[in-house]
Amino acid sequence: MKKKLLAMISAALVASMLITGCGGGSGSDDAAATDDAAATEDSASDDAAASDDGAASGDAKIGMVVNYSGQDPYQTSYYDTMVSYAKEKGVDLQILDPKGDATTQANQIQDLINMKCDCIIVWPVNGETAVASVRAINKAGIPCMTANTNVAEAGEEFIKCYVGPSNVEEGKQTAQEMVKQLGEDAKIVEISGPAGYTTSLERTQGLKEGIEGTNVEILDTQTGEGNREKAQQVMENYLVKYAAGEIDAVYTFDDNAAYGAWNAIEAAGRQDDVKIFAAASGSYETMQYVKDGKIAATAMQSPHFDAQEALDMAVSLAAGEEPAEFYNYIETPVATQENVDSLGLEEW
Amino acid sequence: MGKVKAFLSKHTIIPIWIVCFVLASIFVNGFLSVNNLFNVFNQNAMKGIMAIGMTFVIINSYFDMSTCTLVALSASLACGLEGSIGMIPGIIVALLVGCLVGCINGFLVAYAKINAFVVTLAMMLGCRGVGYIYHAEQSLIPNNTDMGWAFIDFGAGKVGPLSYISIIFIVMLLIAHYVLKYTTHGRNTYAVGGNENSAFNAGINTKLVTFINFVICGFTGALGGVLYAAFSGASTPTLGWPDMHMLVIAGVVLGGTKLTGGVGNIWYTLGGVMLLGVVDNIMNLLNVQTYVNTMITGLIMIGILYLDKVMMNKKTKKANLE
Amino acid sequence: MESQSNKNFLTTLKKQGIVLAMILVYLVFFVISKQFRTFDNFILIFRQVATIAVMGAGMTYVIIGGNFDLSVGSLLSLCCVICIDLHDKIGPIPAMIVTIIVGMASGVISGYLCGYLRLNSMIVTLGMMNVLQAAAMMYTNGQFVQMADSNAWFTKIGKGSVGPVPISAIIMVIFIIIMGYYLNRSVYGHQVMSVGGNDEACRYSGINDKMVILKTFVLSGLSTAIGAILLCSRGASAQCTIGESYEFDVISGVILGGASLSGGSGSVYKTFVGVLILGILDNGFVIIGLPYYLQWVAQCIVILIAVYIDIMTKRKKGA
Repeated sequence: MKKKLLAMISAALVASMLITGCGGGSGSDDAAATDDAAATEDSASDDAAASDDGAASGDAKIGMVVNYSGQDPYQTSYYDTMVSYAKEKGVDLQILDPKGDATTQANQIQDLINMKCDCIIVWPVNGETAVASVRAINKAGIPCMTANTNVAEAGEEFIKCYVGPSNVEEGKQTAQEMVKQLGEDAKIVEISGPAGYTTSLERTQGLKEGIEGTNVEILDTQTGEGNREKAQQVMENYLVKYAAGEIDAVYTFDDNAAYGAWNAIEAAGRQDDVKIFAAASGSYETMQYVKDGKIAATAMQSPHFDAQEALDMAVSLAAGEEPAEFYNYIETPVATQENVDSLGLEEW
Repeated sequence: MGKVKAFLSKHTIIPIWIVCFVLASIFVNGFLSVNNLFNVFNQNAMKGIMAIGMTFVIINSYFDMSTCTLVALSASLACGLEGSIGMIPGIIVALLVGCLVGCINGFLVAYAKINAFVVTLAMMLGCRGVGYIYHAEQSLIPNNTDMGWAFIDFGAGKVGPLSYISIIFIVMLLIAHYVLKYTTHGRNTYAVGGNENSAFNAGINTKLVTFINFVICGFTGALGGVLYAAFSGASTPTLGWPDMHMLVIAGVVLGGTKLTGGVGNIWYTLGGVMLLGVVDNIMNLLNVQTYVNTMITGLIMIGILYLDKVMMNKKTKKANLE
Repeated sequence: MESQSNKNFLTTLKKQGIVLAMILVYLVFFVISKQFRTFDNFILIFRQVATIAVMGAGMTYVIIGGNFDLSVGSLLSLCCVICIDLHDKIGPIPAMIVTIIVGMASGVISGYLCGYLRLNSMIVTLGMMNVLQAAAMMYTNGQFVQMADSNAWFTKIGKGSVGPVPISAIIMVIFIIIMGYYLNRSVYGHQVMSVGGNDEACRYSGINDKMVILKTFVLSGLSTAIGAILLCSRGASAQCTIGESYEFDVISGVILGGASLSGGSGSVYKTFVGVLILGILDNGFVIIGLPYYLQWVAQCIVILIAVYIDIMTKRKKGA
């Protein structure tokens, strides 16, 4: 008797946990987000039933693994756009989030292969570790593409195409703009992105390419760990280390680190002394920073275009079409105080 | 019947598993298929291998945080050394480095008597730094040689539904079970973890036992790292960071092995690690949003622990009555 | 009487191996680097450690009570985004009050689970870490939260200073003194020590050990909330992953300060010293321009040496 009671209690407990977990979402401020979550959940269960009958039905089933939505606005906007755009287009999208962990991502790709998707989009957490995964997708006979971050060269033979920004190009453009503004003898410091993250390495490479042939000197490089507060701390230490006149600018991995750097520079009262160049920016607020002259230049990268173009491509791949180009780079114009109003970035 | 009851309330992980399994089978579409279940097992085999070593250390009443970055270090050695000394020697070096890290941990904890948390935390930073230096911040992949692809094929290869890695896991489980249950070292580990002073008084070389357990943990950590490298065909400096060790420890503890030491066995660990794996799998199948996923995972962890407690309490009450 | 207190002072000093270690670390950087020597940098270190030091004070209670609190990093994120978001909506003072309530409420939950239900604190707080992180993400939907006016008086808490001394450092020192005094002198402080030292025995001696444990978590939540206020007022903005991996810095500081992980002993002041060592290392390595991966190796070595010095001084005292 006691045991029965216990079993019932425990069953109720776990069930209630599942329900409260989901219900917790609907209680939150953001109704839109929950709607999306609920919608995808519904479609997931509908779909699981449908796929048993065979994938012959007209709607494409597209699987995607992202990197870490929720970590920063860019990835979150990308994720949200992906979900809402898929709904708009009537695409059945199965989107998984490995929270920035390469191995989890490999596991989730296994899950997607098992779900028999018609096309799989991979946003690699890391270009190299994704090689084995895209190879597995290829072996399973499912068309595969990468988005936002490309897979390493060894894996390119297993994918159909890449859609997203060119991180090296972004870094290079921003660096060239920096040379234009500061001259060829500038001394700069760098705040890089999360250690070991492919995008971070590529933007650093872009910086090096952009200043090639000039006398611009990178005095110091430290990681801001993709965290604004850490970036601020690093910048504060730089400002102590290099007195006024010893550095001309700081080159940051993204706009988030740039905000942190700005906080430190403003607190030290050295706005006129040290300029900020952000390799790439993905949030609308950054525009205001550029307008105010807080960020001297940055390559603007829209999460919405990025997501939409990736999904469009995936739909055509799922229909069996071959892509025209292998590298499909989205536009990433460099914004400065002068041109920011004329870039036509309103719909971001 | 009474025996079954007693058995279940002693090994609480079994009824918890049954509850989770039944609920998931009913409510989650696509969960209950042979394919999916083997998939879960295969996915978590590497974590399981690392948890085996951790079980020894935890039964010994310590825990090892350095596993977290040792994984990345050994993975990078296995991949990186392939070019210079070949795949097999590279793997051997990686495993030896794992043992070496275990030796340092064991020496500092057992002989220098420094707090295990501090030692392994420091080693975690140390391994991370050395891993990055070796990587030069880049990811490493085995060269496109036959051996390199063979290594990756091994990581992806399967016998029937079981991957090669899972088979290694099963073999390791059996060995670990044998060592814990039937060898002097295994019995000594329980004794030292239960009460170090009385173990010492009983003539056990407590320092040596602790030392060996840390070496075992270092070895399985490195083995896990090498297999991760094979599985993903590359090694990155960020592998395992920042919370691999916590997930491994959580797996061991959820299974029923006590952090205070002296209690536990290898099958608890198997149950605990796979339970976390099943929770992950369910979340993926439900396709819930990241935030919700994170939250439910957290709640389920606490929930499982609570169930364990409820059943344990019942057992102790009963014991008191008798 | 005079010589008695002198003698006491000397024996106390002998016990403080970790202080010795800190001075050594400071001197090494002092000799190596010109920039490190500046007064500005000395002040900067205090500003940078303020949050971790405040959180460490609360964590000391939890660890002395024989538990862990891994959820503080996520709680820090949650408190930061709540505080910044509510600042413009309901005003700075109510925002801070709500932040503190959220911090303490989270402490009550962890404390109830660990104290009353006697669940393993490591797993409970690991679970809470997930829950709170998800809550922070839901609250912001992954976006930044930013104050409209980045120079409001609220930001002075983190950015401003009285003369050369940062306000955040003053708050930190006051908070640590209060927490330290409370631990050493109050009845409750002794109860925490005895609960952590020997749980079973003190239940028989009539101490409500469940309540004592619960309170340690509430104190940890409180100090995390105060740490969050210091942190987010510095940048006038917050991101939902701002506190990621803070728990390790905090726990490392506490353990470096000599609190025993099995509970029963520790000191808020020594925790502060432990946190300072980590802060000096962080700052010093960037100043001398060591690549970050070498920093980790160096940190590993310094931490082990610091703990070893601490142990050696204690052993000498014993002999």
